[in-house]
Amino acid sequence: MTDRVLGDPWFWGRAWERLSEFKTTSLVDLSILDFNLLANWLEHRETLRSASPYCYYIDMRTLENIVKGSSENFLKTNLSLSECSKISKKPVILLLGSCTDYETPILLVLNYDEGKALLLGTHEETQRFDAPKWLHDIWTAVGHFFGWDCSNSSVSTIILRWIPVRIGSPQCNKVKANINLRGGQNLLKKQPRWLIRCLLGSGHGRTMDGGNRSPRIFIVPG
Amino acid sequence: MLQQIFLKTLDRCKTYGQSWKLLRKECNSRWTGASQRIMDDLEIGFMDFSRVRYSLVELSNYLNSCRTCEMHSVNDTPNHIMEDTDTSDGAQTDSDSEQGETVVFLQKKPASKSQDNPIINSESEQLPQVLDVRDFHIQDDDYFSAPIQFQNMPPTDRDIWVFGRDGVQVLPDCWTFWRDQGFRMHSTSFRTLPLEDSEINADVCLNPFNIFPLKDKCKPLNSTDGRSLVLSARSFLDEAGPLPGTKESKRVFLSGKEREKGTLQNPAKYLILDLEKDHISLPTVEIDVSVDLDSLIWVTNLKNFKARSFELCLTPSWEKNAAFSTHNFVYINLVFPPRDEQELNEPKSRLVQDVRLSRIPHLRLGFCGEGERRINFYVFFPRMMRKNQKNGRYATLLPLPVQELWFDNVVIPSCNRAFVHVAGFSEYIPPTLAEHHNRCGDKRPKNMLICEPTTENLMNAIQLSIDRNPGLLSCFGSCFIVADGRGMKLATKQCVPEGTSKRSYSTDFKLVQDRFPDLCWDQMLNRDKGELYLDMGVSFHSRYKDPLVGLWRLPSLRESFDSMGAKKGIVHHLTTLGYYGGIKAEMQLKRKEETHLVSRISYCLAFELVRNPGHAEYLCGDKEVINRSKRFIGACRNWRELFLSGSTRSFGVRDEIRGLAQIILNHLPNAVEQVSPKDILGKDSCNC
Repeated sequence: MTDRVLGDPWFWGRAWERLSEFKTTSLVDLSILDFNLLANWLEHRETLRSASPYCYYIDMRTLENIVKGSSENFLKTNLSLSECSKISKKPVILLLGSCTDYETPILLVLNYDEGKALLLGTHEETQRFDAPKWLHDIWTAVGHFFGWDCSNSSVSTIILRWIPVRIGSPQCNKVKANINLRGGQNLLKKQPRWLIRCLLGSGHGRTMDGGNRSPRIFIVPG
Repeated sequence: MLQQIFLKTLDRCKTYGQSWKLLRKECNSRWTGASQRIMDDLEIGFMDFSRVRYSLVELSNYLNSCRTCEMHSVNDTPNHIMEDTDTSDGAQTDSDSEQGETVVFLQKKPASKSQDNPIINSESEQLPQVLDVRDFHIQDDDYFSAPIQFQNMPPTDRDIWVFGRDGVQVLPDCWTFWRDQGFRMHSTSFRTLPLEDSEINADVCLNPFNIFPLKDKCKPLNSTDGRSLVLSARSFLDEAGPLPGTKESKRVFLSGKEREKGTLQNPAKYLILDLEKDHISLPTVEIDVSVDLDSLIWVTNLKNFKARSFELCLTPSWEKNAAFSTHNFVYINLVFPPRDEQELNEPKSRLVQDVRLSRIPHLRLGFCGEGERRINFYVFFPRMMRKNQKNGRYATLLPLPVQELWFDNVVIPSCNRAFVHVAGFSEYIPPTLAEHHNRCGDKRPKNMLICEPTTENLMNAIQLSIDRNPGLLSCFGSCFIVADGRGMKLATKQCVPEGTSKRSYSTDFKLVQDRFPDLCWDQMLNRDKGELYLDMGVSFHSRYKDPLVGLWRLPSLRESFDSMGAKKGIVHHLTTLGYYGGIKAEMQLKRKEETHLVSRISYCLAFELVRNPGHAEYLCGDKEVINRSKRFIGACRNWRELFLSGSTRSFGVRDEIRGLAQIILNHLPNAVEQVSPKDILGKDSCNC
């Protein structure tokens, strides 16, 4: 199954093309991240066999189709979802490019059980606020796609910013594995470690943008 | 993190690219089309692209430059640094381990820190000298990028994903080790001897063949016990008889006994060779003296390097051995890697130490001239200095991938940049190493002539290339250049003014300068720009009516070396003769600083009969000898003919003294008079 999804040049071909522009000084291209996150999820899904996954990952192309309202069956096939049976509510992880209000890429974790969305990767300070319209649209479209009723639920949003950590910088060692995400720990602590490993420090060393008490988040492939 | 993303992506691109190959017919309707370029890349293999390899190297370097990660403990750093760089001699150095290399602090170090390291303490007691921090400027080098660590450990899977899914190593081993180890230069790193003029005793320095005719010390042992017979070389040959292969000759040469078998009552005596019996005292008038310049070594940095013209190497070389594989008694003063964060932030507090050139990785940058006038230019990379963990030797021969990185990312782009504003060059300079290989169809070497004033532009461009891409090229930072001329004697011996005696003469330096027009001599002689070492060779030749072989008496030579302040050095016996041969030794540090002379080599010119420079083995390999192969038999025959023909020629003795150019050139004009045996001995014969 994984081969049939990732064998599509849309994924590996684009990732290979972007790889030639890979630089240590700039953000990793979204195509590369998307390819790796999807591959991680599918490979993990294969190891689980029939067991229910802890969460779902929706790649950027599938998300675009979902938001457009496409209901092609292969979208579900791509995600190893059953056509008929009811899908249990699990957190959904998405990678967003430019469809948001923000300039930077966003990693979105939608927790339909708790009605919360964790939005990682803005330049704003950590805060809670009501979800903007674009987030509501995604929330609703994704919920419908999975067959979950979410039209009336309100979404509480937690925003955390990306802190670029320069490789080789003195603060590289200060990263700790203790989760200290104010208000967000409940969202993340149940996530499988293979997909997102949140290494959050609190107030160690300097950061590139001058902050010194911001959480750091790394996405680790596999 | 980044290198994991890169490697994992690369690996997955490869894996799912193969899936596309297998399933494309079946899944064609659902999949997007692959462009021709991607298909071509897949066919070639993603890892075969140099840009991919270089990205991997860059990422690996970034990881290794991490100074204080929790997985990179800083506590084990200092002793490793010192142990790995200061103590034992590598096999690529000679066996003279007396050298007390100067370990000093740029600034006075707190006692507690220096006491952590026994090596520093012992060296500091020997040489409590502190480098003048006025010479140290923070902008001299990139001090803050030096890694605290000194790790030669292979990376774990936490650090870098070394293997792909197919079990094949993604990045060659060499990139684990050939990286920035933290050594840095300062503005006067090339100067390891005081700038002040030396106060030198000319008689001692230039008369090694002096007042010690220790003839008696060369008497063979057991020569008076009654069971031995002491013979001269001539008598020895007579004892063996005129015909080769007879029983008598075998008894003499193989058994070392008299030609006649003895009896129980009167056994055959053992033969002892006493060459003193062959000694002939020559009148001074029958000894010619020639003084020449045999070699030069100029150490300078990129900024100060100049040459009127030279051939720049644009492609890697395929050498088996590094050019400076043995200690040549020349040092460079390096700033050592920081041992902690304090030293990282305060470069002046780091250690500095004199390091042998032969311990630093190097590569040929170019050359000028041919034959005896050939001068090679080498670029040295102190940042990559390290010991091979397996054999404990200093690794100085750069592996091919590292060489390719240097030429592909530094030399060729710099060459293009140096000529960017000059029309008519771009078509002739390859943009990349791969393009040159593609054009030639093989990996033949390519050079390019660089003339003034482009040399300066080129050096600036090289520096700029390295500075602009520290992630990939930091290992090449702090590089410096060494000009190396060897075996120049036949060229400089002919630099004698007209009208000078052709019997005893001294090379005229002005003529030498004319003979080597590609070099910028003014620049080389300026001690603010670099350090120039010259070898003055003094040869003594017999003019006696019969052919003679000159031999150094080792006891005399030893005394002479000692009086000159040389170290013990290495003794090279002439064949198996106990008392005759040569000595090679470095000067003691104190003496070196007083006289600016760094080393001395004395040897017998009879060695020239079989000398074959550049070849590691003489005659043939050990295996050939064991198997008595045709090659071995043939080589023996050749040598026998060489010795037979040599018996009709005279061979003198030679002394070579290496020192700073200023002191050597001071003595060069009057060297013949200074070394004349008559002047030294006060009598009319030579007894060395």
